[in-house]
Amino acid sequence: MAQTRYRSLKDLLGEEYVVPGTPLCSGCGALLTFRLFHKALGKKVVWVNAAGCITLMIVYPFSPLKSSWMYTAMGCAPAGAQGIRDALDILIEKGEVDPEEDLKVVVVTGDGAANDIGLQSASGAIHRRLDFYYLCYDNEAFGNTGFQFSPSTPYGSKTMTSLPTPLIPEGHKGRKKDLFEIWRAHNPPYLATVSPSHPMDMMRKIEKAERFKGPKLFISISPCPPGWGYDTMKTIRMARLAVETGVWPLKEAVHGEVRHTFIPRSLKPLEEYLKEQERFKHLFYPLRREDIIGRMQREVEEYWRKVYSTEVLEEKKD
Amino acid sequence: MMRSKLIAELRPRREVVSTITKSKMLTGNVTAAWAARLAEVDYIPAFPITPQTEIIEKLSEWIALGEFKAKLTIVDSEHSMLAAAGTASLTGARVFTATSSQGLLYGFEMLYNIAGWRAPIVLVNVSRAVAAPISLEPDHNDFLSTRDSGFILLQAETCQEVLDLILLAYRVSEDNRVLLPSLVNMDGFHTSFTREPVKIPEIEEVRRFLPKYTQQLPFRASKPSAKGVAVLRPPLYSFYKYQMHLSSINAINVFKEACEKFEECFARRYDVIEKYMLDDSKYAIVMMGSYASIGKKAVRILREEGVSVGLLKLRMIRPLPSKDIRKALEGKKAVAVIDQNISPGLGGILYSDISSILYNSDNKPKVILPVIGGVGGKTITLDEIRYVVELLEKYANGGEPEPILLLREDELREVESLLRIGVGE
Amino acid sequence: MLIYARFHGRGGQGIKTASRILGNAAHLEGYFTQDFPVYGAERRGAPIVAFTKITDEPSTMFDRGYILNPNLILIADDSLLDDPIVNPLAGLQSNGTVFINTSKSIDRLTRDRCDIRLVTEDLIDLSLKYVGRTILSTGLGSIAAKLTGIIRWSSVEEGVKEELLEIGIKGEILEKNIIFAKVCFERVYPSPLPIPKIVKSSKIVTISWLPPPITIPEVRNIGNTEIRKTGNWRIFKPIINLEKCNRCGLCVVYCPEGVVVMNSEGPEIKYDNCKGCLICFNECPVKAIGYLREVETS
Ligand code: SF4
Ligand code: SF4
Ligand code: SF4
Repeated sequence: MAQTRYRSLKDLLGEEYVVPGTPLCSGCGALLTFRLFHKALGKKVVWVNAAGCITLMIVYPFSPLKSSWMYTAMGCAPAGAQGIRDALDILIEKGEVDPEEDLKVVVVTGDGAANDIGLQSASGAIHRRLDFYYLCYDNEAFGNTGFQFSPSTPYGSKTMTSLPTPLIPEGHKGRKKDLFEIWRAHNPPYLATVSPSHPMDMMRKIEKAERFKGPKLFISISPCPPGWGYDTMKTIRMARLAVETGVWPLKEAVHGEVRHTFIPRSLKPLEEYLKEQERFKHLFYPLRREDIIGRMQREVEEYWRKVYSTEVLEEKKD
Repeated sequence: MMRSKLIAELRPRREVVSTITKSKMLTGNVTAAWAARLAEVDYIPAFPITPQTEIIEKLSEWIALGEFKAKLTIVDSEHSMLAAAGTASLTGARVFTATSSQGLLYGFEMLYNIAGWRAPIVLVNVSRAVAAPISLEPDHNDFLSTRDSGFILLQAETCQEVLDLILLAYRVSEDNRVLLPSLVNMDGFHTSFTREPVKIPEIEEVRRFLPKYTQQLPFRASKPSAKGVAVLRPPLYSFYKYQMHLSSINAINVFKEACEKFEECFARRYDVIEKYMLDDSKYAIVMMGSYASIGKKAVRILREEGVSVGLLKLRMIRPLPSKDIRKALEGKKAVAVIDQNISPGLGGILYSDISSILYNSDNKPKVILPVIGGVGGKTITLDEIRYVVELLEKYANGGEPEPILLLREDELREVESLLRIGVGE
Repeated sequence: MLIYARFHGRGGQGIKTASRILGNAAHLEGYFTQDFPVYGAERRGAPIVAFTKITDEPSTMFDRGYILNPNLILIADDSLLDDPIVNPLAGLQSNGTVFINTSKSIDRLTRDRCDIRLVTEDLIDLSLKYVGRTILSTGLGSIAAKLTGIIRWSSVEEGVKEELLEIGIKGEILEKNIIFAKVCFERVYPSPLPIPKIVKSSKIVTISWLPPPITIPEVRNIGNTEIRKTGNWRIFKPIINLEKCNRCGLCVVYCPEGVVVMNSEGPEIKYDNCKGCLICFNECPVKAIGYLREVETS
């Protein structure tokens, strides 16, 4: 990366746009991602939201934001963003709004809204080349309603609607939808995955995205202490383990071209990540389910085999 | 502001009331497009659906030709369309959009939101009966399903009324005493595709009638705000909702006021209701929309035959102008409400509205007759209305009429022959 | 006989389960019972409330919803006492009983209201001792049952079992919880609870139309959540040792709440809003952050 505002952690200590006192859970990974995102985007932002945990940051008469906020409905945050963007564009064009008053329009939703009920609306907005950011905080379930599985829930996770039983020992049988690839198929100018454990990577990606007009899309892993079942102090640890075990690859796609921004020399065993979380406890207790854990591990390895065979080799070439 | 100043400098202001505006043969749909253009809307999110499509086709054509400066975005569904409409309105744009039937129902969730956000958009619905079964012809189930959403509901009969009600709707919706969105309804085919002469006013005249839209706190970098926020304290939620009700009630007088101004500007007079040969009649028929034209014709003929009947046409459905309706119907011997909709298990929707208005009157009609007619675009003939009036005479001294369906023998034969083919002998 | 028990606690403390243990135990005892939690927007750590109503006369159970006139209040966390929005003692009937989980002595309470009975225990301490982790629901439910004076241990035991199994707690942990519940049950004694008086509400008002913007649900006074002192969610308090600290800034970056600020002297935690997640403690590369249980710090 040529020029960056973010050379060291010190560059991340600047102004905050989310003041404390939100009703979100102690140790919430989504809140951390949101706060860092806001830092990178600056103050001139309007957030457009669909139902999820983050919605509850703003309950009358409170808002922790120093910026604007628009809650739409669960299925249509990108369309809400379209309305604001279009209105600002036409009013600026007609000379009725000072361009100084312009705002970055940023959709923020959970994985449930992004993968399911809001997918059509997002697909439409990306396809229309709407100039906006989309931040999906992925806690891998419907956290707001008490942790039921979503299309983003990984295979083998316990949720309130996929309890492991003797009949269904793995818990959740479905596979995690690949939102990155779904979005990439729309050919947005910029698309990336991020993790709050890697703030420099996150900030630089947001900074890079600023160069592009059109949809700029982000998916952030967002560890959730009550849903995943770990002690609140381990939120960063969980996110970091997800990256280091390879289950959460950090990557970006510029005009569809994928590049991994963190390629672990060797992957930590997935088990290290799984065994610290209540949602995977049934894979270890009372009986260790080698079959299920092994299957999960193989899937991660399969993914990275492809990455190593293309990207790392390419790097060697030059 | 900038724009209006510019225009004022360029052109001399026209003081003359344009009673001489030339008329043009237009469909209801094209008329609606004209209304949006004359209201100088900034933004039109859209999604095509029969029979509304012509409206957005026309608007996009004008924009493409550079004749009309606005932003039109075709989105992915009516749900998205209404979301974009609402947020754009909160950003300070004057917004117009249109839909029909399934589309209205698909976006239904957002109607309540837009109203709750107090975003004064104008939405045109071109009525079409709701599936299942699929139909293309009009009735009012789509329109009336929105009656609890907080939208101001206005129903047009003629193409001219489409134009005029849209302009009135912007003025009423954007008035601070109201600040609620409007839904202007016209009937598919019978108004939307019917051409008749429409007077298109000059844009300067419209500007005299319709002030510029200003959103009190639009989304701007220098003035952040949080909108559409959750309200989880039950008393506060009640407070907001009741304020919506009171604001809606305000719309009755604001509409009347706007009608006065409208007459001054365009020499056409409207009110929340329209009475046709009603004041001196013994019996009354209540109708709305395009079929009211048929009703009026029947009333005139029946009058000539010596039957004392008049017609009340509803124009404003929400807020329900109770006082005006009560005054119009008090003292009648019997009233028939012809509902062009059906609420299974109840009968007609407007029947209960009208009955509730009259219940507390000392001088209420002896009977109110529920009639279902014109559902799914079924035609209504003079003789069907004659039949309704005969029933009124029969029930004039009381009785407990059940909802009846207007269906003729020839139509029943058609039904039977279709059933024979579909079901098999 | 009518028992109106109201539970106050924080999300994640098991208030709903406690009210259900009481409800279930009373049901098993043969009484008519209703239990009911209220969920708000609040996530884990924020104040929540639950209710249990018990009677031997079914007609007095023609009731639903909030309890405004409790004769028994159970407070899972003494920090709630000072929360003006929660106001946990509101409506407590004269001669009613209030139980508080605390390690402090709270005389000021009975000084303000000499007409109530105060019972306290340090449930955190007991649960750490008997279960090996902080769990309140079992102890709280069991104590509530005892304080009603009408429920036997056998019903409480059964109630605890059923409710914990319902939320997926079984095996050894369940056994430990039952022991914990028994200990709690034996530590407190009931005294007769007064019949709750019907609450007289204030008069009905007329609402007339008001002009916008106050009638629009939008927040204009943004950035205002700091006044919600989420610091009182804390169980553990992080403490920075500036001598060890190398000013790397990680705690500032990683704090979800954004309550660590970098001053000229080093990082400082704004305790008013620190929720006590301890991410800062866990992530500090030089272990310059420690923590203490909240009580020990005051
Ligand atoms: S449930 Fe999970 S995602 Fe939701 S607020 Fe709590 S920690 Fe955050
Ligand atoms: S993380 Fe530790 S070393 Fe770094 S600034 Fe914070 S207290 Fe100091
Ligand atoms: S414990 Fe540390 S990381 Fe957590 S809120 Fe408090 S200061 Fe922030």
